[in-house]
Amino acid sequence: MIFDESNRGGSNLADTNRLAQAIEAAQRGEAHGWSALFERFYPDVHAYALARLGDLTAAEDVTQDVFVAAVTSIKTLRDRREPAVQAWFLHICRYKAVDHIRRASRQRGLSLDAGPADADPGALAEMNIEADRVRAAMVHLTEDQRDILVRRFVLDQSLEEVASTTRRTIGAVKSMQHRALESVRRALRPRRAA
Amino acid sequence: MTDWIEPQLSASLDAWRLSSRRAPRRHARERAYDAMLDAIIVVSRRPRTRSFFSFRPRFGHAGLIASTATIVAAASVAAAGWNAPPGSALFVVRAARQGVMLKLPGSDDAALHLDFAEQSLMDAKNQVNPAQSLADAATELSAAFTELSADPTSPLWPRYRLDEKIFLSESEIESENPSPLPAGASPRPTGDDTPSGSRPAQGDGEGTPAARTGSASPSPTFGDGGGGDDGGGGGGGDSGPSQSPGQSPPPDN
Repeated sequence: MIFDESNRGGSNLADTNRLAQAIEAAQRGEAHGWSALFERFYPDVHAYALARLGDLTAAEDVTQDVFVAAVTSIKTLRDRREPAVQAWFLHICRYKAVDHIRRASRQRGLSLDAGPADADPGALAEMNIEADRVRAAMVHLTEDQRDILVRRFVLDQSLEEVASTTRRTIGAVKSMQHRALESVRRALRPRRAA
Repeated sequence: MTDWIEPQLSASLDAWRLSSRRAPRRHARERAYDAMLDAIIVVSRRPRTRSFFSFRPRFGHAGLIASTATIVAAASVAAAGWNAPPGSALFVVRAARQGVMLKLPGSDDAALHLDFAEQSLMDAKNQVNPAQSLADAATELSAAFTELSADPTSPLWPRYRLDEKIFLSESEIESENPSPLPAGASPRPTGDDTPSGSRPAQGDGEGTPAARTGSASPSPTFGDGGGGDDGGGGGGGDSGPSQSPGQSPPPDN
């Protein structure tokens, strides 16, 4: 099974109070609080990283880095509602992913515009090839546009959720999404034409 | 989610979505979980950062106690020696205090010398090392006279005359029952370079300050018989300093 839907929203922390309790426990450094947060948000963080990086191994590494970084900065988390907590994890993941891309580019001597070189060495399916093309097309977007596309089309967040977590108006999110999709469409067209 | 987008772009986005939603590998997930637990342990063991004012070194308590003890000891010595009698071990504190008071800018040196003289006279009266006390009083009175000579209209002249009278009285008593000057008695700070010969001369026998210091001019000379004035303005029972030649007479009251 390449797409695991079982983790989407199927959490033990559906109740807001339980999530708040888990965060409080995590802020006190208690492992059970972190276990609950890990179970709930690991899939989303992993999906976000994979959508940005395209490399499963890299996405796993970045996801791990996100939770290690979260441990050191959990005390800064004030809003304990689920969308805010998810946004907080994804915010960390976003910067970890960018940092990973930059580091990988330096190691490989590639520029950022070159995009992910190898998405998944073992995957030859058409889906992954198409996904890699989308990721390659996204290198022309701004960081905020990429972030919105991941939230909208990978994490299935609504316009309202994206607007809330990115602190923008719905109209602004719509506008950014439209420009981002137009840019991706233009980037994909020449290849299709070829 | 992508129904409203043109079909080709929608298919690409769906492929991207499905590719990104692949389940993480079990070992990677366990590795991430273990790393997170390790981070929890590291963070819990990390010493909390202290603000500058709450920082205390390892021996902070000992240092604080030592500092406090030093300050308390210094304050105790200063308090005990503030008015220490002449000849005592802490007299240096009193001498230092008087020296500092005389050197302070704006201080009234004449009034201070009279204050110090009166303190020494009080010591002599209380039989606290009377010989040394009288010697100190003589020095202070002499210094006061030097200061007052510059201002014949100073309101301190009556006070000076009264102190002078007390000095002569105490000196007379002391001459009748002389007490040896304690060895190692230090001279008083006067704030000026008044020579020893400028001390008030009494003309008594040895053992008295005047006898030791003589009556060199220019200095006030005290009349025999305890305060009789030999001219110069002291009228009635008011004994004033005898004037050396060339000195302006003190004002009359």
